[in-house]
Amino acid sequence: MIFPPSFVVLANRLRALRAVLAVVALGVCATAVAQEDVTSGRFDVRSAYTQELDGVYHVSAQIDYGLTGAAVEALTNGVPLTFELAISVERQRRWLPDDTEHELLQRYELSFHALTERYIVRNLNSGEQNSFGTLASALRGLGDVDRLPVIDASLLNPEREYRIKMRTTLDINTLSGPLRLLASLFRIGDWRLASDWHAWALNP
Amino acid sequence: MGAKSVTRTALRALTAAGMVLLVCSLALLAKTTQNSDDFGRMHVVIVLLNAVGVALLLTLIVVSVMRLVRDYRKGIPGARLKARMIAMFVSLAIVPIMLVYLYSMYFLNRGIDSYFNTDVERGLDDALTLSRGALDLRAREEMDALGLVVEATRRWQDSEFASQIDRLRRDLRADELTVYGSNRRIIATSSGAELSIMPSAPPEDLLRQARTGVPRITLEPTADGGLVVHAARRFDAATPGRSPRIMHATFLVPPRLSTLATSVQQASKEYDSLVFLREPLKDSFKLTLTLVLLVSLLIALWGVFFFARRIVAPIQDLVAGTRAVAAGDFDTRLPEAGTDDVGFLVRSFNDMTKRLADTRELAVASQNAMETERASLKAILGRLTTGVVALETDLTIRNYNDAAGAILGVDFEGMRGRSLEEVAPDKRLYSQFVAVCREHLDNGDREWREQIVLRGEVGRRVLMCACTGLPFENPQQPGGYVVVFDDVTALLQAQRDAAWGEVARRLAHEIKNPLTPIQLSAERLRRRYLATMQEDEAELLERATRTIVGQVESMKEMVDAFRDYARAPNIDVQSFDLNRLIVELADLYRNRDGAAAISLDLETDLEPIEADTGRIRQIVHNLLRNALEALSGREDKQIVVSTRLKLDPQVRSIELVVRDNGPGFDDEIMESLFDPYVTSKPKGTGLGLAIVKKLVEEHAGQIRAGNNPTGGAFVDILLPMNEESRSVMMTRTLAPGETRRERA
Repeated sequence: MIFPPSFVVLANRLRALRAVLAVVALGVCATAVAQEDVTSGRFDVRSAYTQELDGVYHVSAQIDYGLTGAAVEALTNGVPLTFELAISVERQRRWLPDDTEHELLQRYELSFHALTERYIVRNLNSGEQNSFGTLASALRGLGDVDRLPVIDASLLNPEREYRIKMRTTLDINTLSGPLRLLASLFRIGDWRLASDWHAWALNP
Repeated sequence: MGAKSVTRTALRALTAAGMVLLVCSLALLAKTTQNSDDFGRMHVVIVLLNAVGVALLLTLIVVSVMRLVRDYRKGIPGARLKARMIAMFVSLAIVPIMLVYLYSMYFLNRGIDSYFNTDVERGLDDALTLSRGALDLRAREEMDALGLVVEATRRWQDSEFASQIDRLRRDLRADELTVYGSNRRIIATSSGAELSIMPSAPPEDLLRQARTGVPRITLEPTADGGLVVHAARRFDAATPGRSPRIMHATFLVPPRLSTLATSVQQASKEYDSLVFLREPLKDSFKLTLTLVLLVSLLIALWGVFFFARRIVAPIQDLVAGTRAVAAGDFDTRLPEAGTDDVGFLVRSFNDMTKRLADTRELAVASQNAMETERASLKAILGRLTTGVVALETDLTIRNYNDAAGAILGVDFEGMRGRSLEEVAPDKRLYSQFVAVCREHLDNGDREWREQIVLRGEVGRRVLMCACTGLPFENPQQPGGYVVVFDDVTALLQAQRDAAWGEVARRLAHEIKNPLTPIQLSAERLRRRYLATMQEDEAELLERATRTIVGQVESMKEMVDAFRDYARAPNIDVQSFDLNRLIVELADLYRNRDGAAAISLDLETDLEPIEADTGRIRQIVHNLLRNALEALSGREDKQIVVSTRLKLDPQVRSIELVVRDNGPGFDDEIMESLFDPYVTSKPKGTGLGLAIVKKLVEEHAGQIRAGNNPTGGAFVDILLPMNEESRSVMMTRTLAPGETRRERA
């Protein structure tokens, strides 16, 4: 709409080249450390369940984080990535749309510490951080949601039916200016990373 | 203010607001491109806002271009000027903007690239490596120390660890020291932090890797920005059969070293980040620049259309106004167009049209007055019995009246603007008139008066002619002439008739009185002396007195004839059959000696005529006698008498014509044919035709005489059939434009 087609094609090619270089560079690291594919470009909530502990419902989940080449390249070049884990408890209604009872937003930051060559995963809600030797283990650690308190059981009506759904996304709004602009406008495929909503029933 | 102008004002305000918003958003865009945190999510919105603005501007411009093309093709006034202005302004705007754009692109590429120096990058990498090396060295020392502790405590039971762990930690100068059993079970732990009960969790992979038997050191950043060294070593438990133990010690890197290393890491990180973001930065700058340029360019283009339209609008109004004025609409007023030169032009145009309208009104009023004047003049000229012809200096006819044509016997209809000589060149009478006019013109006479005698085919005409020059403004170019003329033939004739009447009366009076005494005296002489005288003397006396008496008798007859001629008209109108009268008289003349062959060609079914029987009888009698006298001495005497009703809806009249095959009238006497004592016959008194004419005119009739083309003479008389027709003919005689003027 704004740029001539040739300009867009050129920009796409440059991006593609950079992505290839990033993948090659990453591939060297990945081969050395672990033979795991971290550039699938998909987020997927593999499994999730709820358990009540001391009157509080906790959610545990296994999430696969597969980044894109562009994201990995940005990460290794010192650009931190922010992930949002959204959990929502909804009261199911027969004739009306479901009513959101409670929402929880967990934000994590994944960054690469060049001095120690370690990947740092920090929970932005609690400030707690962990370090990992490889990107794969960092993503695994990120994807391992272990007993995250969601809602007090007393807030739920046993007569009603509830449903929990969760989704994780890469937050491109926290990217630095130019990257965010280009990610928002052009790199939709490379940067618009999000899992589908994963929902399951919650029976108090 | 109409709804249309309100809508227009609102549209303009909206457009202006949109422009301002667009420019503001451009400024914000530039700012957000530089600083990521200030506007956060607004960035994309602003870019999209600009894109929408660009799309709107493009639409506006496309619409304007289409409208311009349509106007250009239709040839609407001002479209060419507008197109030229737009082309000029667009070329003026595009060239510098494109130059700035290309140079900006070039400098953007080169400028941003020049910020990144490979030496700096390498230096930072080296500094990082150096820092890492220094920390590694320190970590290895700590690892070695931990190795010594592990060696010293290899035989210890778990309980000894629990009691000695604090000491071991202090000896080791570690911040934390923990001994793990299987499954990360804590056997003993000690921490330098007083409030710490549980040891801080080691990195997830540290224990797993240490459990393989390889001593493991990991440097890890802490949440508060410091650095910590994790060291872990495996050793076998003193009690056989038990799982190996892992001793894990953490050493906080001294703050000074940690700060320096973190600073190097931070600098390296930021530089790497900048290097990585170089292309996106350039892209976003280019995007911003392109958007700014596009918006500026499109605003400029739209501005060009807008201002071209505003500049051309008064000119278009002027063109439309000029066309309207050219088409005769002087009431056109243009809307005010400001105080500039175009505004002055518009005001001048409005003044001009106002003056034109005023002048036109004056001209119309003056023209109306002139038309009225002209109509009255035409009416006056039309009613004039005098002929009027206005001529240019070259005898071109400017104007004329009906009487002119009637007097000259020509038709001036459609001859205005043509030469006087072209009207009827073949008419003898008219040609003589033109010749007189031409002669005076050639002599340079502007004022002249002359009595012209014109000789026509059927008699002579006397015109009293006067000419005067028309007034003129330019002395170098004199105006035309106006020739005024009147047919005075009848007037002169009347004068002559009156004179003759007077002569006749005097003759009758002066001559007849002495005749009777003369006759009586002669008779007395005869009576007294005839018997007394000798025979030869008596014979002489007898002859002499008889001659005297005979001549006196003859003179008495002559005087009676004069008396008849001079007698005052006293018409005794009766109704009688004209044809019958003619037949009687013709028979009378047929029975005489030496009579001519009189043939009659009379109108059938002729109603009775209302006239004086005696006078009409005398007319016919005189004409027949005239004809017979003219035929005397000829072998083949032919007289034809004819009557014909004239086909005139207003006047019922009859034409009586007497023709003979005699010698005809001489040319010499043709002019005075109806005057007394004019005759070509040896025995004629010269009163016959004069009396006929007098009697005809007493009946308000008309008479003319002439020679037949085949020889012989004719006399043509037109008589009214009744009193009503007589009145009409009398009026026509007074109005010469509609009368037969050709009286011989």
